[in-house]
Amino acid sequence: MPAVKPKPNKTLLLDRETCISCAGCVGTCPDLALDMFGVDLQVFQDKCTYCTICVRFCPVGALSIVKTAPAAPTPSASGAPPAGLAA
Amino acid sequence: MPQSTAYDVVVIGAGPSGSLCARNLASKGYQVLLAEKRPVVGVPVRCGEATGRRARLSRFMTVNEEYIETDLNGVILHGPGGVSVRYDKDDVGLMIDRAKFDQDVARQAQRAGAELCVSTRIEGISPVKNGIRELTLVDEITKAKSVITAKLVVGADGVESLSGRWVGLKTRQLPPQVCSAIELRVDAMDANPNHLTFWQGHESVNKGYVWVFPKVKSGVVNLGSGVLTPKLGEKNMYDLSMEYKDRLFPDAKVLEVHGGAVPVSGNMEEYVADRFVLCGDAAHHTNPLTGGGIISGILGADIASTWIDAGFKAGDLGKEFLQQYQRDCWVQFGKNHRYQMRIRDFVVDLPLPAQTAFYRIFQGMVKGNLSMPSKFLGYTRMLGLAAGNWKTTKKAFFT
Repeated sequence: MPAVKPKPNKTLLLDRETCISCAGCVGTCPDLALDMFGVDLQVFQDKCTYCTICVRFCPVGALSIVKTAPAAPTPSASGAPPAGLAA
Repeated sequence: MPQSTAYDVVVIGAGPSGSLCARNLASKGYQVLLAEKRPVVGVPVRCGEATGRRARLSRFMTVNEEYIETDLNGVILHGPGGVSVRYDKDDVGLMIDRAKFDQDVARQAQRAGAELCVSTRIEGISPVKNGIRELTLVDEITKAKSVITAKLVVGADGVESLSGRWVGLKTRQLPPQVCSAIELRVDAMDANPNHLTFWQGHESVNKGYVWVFPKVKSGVVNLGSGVLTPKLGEKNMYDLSMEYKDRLFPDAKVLEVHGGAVPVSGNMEEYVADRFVLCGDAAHHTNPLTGGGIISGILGADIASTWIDAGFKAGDLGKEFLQQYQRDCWVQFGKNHRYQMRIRDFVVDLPLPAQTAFYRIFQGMVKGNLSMPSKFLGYTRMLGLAAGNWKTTKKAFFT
């Protein structure tokens, strides 16, 4: 069985205010991590390999890759729910 | 939702090439479904809207005056080092209203007997089973899924094509070979209302160009820029276009912003499979030098429909038979596109002084004021350097 690499602590961010729904990034993504539903661009984080092609391509700069904090410990281990899930 | 569940041909995407392919096949008596994922054909427009001569367009359809915006009389190209090349000639091309154009071609397809379904998204294509392919359809409004069958599928779903990947073709666009473009529709009129104006070269935008295309009938200017995929952190296309807009039309209003990708890799190596054909932008049938793809997309679709018809008549829609379409496209425009791609890559990679010299030669050739020997030298230098050496020249011309 091949070893499963842990996902790097990165996220592909889409700025919906800037996005002009041109769908150009959909064709450039090698991993099918982007798809257009009507005028709504969807990012599938689980498929993204952070190759930055779409970030470089985007004509308005609506896509970016940001580093995120390492995965929060599970609630059972820390005793409190992760900060992201609160409220 | 489509009326029937079994079709001879299903065309994905109602752009010019998809619609034209559907029209040609429907007029030959095949049952054709034209599936478009958007609610309105042609909207939003993702195009610079300049196209080839009227005569070239009228080879495929009767040109409707309704969508023609401007008859172009020339081209102005601003190169580096203050060299600008002006080329005046009647009938170099047309400016069209792309939304109206797309709708016109789709209407022609409908008149010929094809069934047009808008808001219909294809989600998947099955492998060939008993001589048919199954397609999963999603109605974008009700989100209802259904399955239809087709004897042959034409993928004309544009630059964001996924249909090729479903059948196992390598349609992925590698980063330097895709052009990132944006266009502003500016409420102004250009000083040269019948000319296309370009800026290219090291001083403005090297791996691409900035364009100003006037649309006289609607009184707007299409100002846009497109470059081969930039490196991370370089200026994006929107800022570049706005910079030019502020310089050229400081007081004018921006009415619309739209952008997209242009495949500029030249023809794909393989774009047919068993009972499957790609055409238009999806098959990268765009001119790698100019990024224009309306005429070559239509031409490709016309060739595709001829071979599909021949395939149905011969009872053979396998990959080997359909490869004749690919070969035909290569002869008609693919070869030429590859040659133009070499010229593009050559000019783009030149250092600034050499690029200026290149534009000087080009200017002299257009003006026609070069003496015979220098003209000859200019041509040979252009051709020779663009092709690199004899081996690649041979490859570009004779394969």
